[in-house]
Amino acid sequence: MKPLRTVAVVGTPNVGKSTLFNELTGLQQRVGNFPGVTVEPLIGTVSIGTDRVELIDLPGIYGLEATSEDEQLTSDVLRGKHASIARPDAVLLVMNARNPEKCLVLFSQIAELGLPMILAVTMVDSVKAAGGAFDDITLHHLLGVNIYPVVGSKGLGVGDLKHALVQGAWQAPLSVIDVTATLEQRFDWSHSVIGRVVVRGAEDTRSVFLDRVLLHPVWGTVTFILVMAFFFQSIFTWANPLMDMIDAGIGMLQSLVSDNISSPILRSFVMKGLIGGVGSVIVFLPQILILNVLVTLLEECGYLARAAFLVDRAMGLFGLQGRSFIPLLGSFACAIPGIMSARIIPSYRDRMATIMATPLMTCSARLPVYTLLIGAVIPASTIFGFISMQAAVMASLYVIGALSGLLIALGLKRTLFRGGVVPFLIEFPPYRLPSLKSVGITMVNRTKDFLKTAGTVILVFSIGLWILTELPRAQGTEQMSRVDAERAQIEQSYAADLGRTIQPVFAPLGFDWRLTLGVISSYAARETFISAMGQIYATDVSESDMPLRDVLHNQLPINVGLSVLAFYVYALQCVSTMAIMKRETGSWKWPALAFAITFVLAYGASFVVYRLF
Amino acid sequence: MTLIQTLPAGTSCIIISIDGDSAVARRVRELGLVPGTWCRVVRKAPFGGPIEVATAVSRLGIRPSDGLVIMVEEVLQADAVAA
Repeated sequence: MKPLRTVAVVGTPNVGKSTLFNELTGLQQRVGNFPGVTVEPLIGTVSIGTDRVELIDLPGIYGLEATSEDEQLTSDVLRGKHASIARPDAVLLVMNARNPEKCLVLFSQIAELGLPMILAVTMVDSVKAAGGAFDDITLHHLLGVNIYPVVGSKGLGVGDLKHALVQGAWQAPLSVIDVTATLEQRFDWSHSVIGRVVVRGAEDTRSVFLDRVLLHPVWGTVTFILVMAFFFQSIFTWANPLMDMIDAGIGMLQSLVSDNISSPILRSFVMKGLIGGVGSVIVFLPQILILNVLVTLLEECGYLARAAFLVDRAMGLFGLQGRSFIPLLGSFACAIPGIMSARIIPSYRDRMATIMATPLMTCSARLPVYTLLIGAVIPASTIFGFISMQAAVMASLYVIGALSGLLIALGLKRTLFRGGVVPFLIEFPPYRLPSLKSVGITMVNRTKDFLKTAGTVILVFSIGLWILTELPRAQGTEQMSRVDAERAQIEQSYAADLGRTIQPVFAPLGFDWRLTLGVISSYAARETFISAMGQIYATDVSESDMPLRDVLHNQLPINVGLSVLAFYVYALQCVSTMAIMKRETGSWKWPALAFAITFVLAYGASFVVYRLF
Repeated sequence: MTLIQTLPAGTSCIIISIDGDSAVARRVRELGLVPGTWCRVVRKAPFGGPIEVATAVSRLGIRPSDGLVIMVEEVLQADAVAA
């Protein structure tokens, strides 16, 4: 059924627009899929009985003249100039009662478009709690549109607003100021209106006090480090039990398949190609979700803007800005949510440079590979009597990865994304308690989004990889034990042919055909290296009755082991990351470039390490 | 008249002009730092990092550079209160 009307939800950043959108539409949301749009706006539905209104959540703006891609979208849609998104029938403007001046300046500009409008005012409760007052009736007379006070985080007033959206009287706003008015004149007008309708309460002493601590050169830095430590710790410790559960679920599904499908080739396809391939990515869902919850909470409560302020100077050394640290930090868990969170960087050049650096941050898929290889080739001795050699190598791999990523960003900012220094500019929102419901809804939507990617692009790649490793079927494996049969299969597959053919390329790095095969199979997902090594060395493991680590210890000289590690520090071996990069940048050009840069670095680093040790 | 980043933390001033990259300068004005506005340098991040500027309308973290030149006139605290 066709909606009664489409309403654009518009507001300045930090007014609580997303929270209100989530409260209004709940789970009735989808990512708008418009051709040629990299910033995908959310579409939600509000219905009362059989009447339905469609809401489109447009990126926050301060005015109709855009400075970023996101803002351009909002401005184009509102003006009816967008190529694929139809002009909305009306506008729901969100205004913050604690900070209304900028919202009214935006109102004065949107009013000129002539679209019918409703004004939702958030945080009226907070103004009243501070002893102030807000006169919505006078504001209604001054602006000519209906005003609805709401408390987004508590859901108060949301019901009335829903009724208004679906059944209410929509009014075109009054022409409040001359079209040619300057920003200065608009602010003067805004101040005069605010003076008549808002009585400010007491100053927000809580925010002032918190800032005195959280932005303090010493205490602020200490807090920042503690928050980041907590951030990391929780991503890894909370996610682990969930990841184990998903892993176990995938295993159960696979054994169910193995018991019920008799055709070996079909069984292998379903077990490894479908369930195994997609499963190895879905395992990271808990980390992705926890990371997203934490970033959203930090953002909603107002800390993120402060953190960006604190690290801006350090990021500036690498040509980046304060906001870049969020995507980079997230990428230590997984580059996928990291790249998605790069949307918070308004400058195109800074965003691109940041995205290109994310794959170098040591993601959790590298961790099992590092653990296996370090355990195999680095002696379990100590330096200076107390620092574990293995831990030191592990830590240095993290540092080398991060530094290299930042240097790549710096290099790109000096070349491809060259341009004047984009001045850092961020607004500090007042501290507030985040709405848990809104955070929850965001999570559900992120999950759907991620599963959709896993179900499409990643599925295609994992089927491709299955064809390489499982075809053609090895002959004469019926009498063999399962382990031998799997080994025979992998040795006779296209991938093994590929491994042997490509091996000369990797020979200068010290890789034999087996390591080459392991490295190639990692291109589906890095942790595949371990299962591939497990299959390739399966006979050695069963004959010697030693764990894979010890078998590798005997098979790999230290320089080869370090050479493989160096390769994993740099190489972009993750099709999912590349798929997300493509989606966020709108072109395969960028993932291809990232792949090329990291491959050259990986090859170079491995070569040097192999020769050096 | 002086560059805003040269003022010590705690100083009040009046914005005289905003120049530099046109998009950035407009954004700063959209955030409420229009010429004639009173504002205060609240604090400065160490090592030449960004500064925090408060107006009646916004609190902003800003790193002035070649792309963003904000000229201000320092005012005495008493005048600012009167204004």
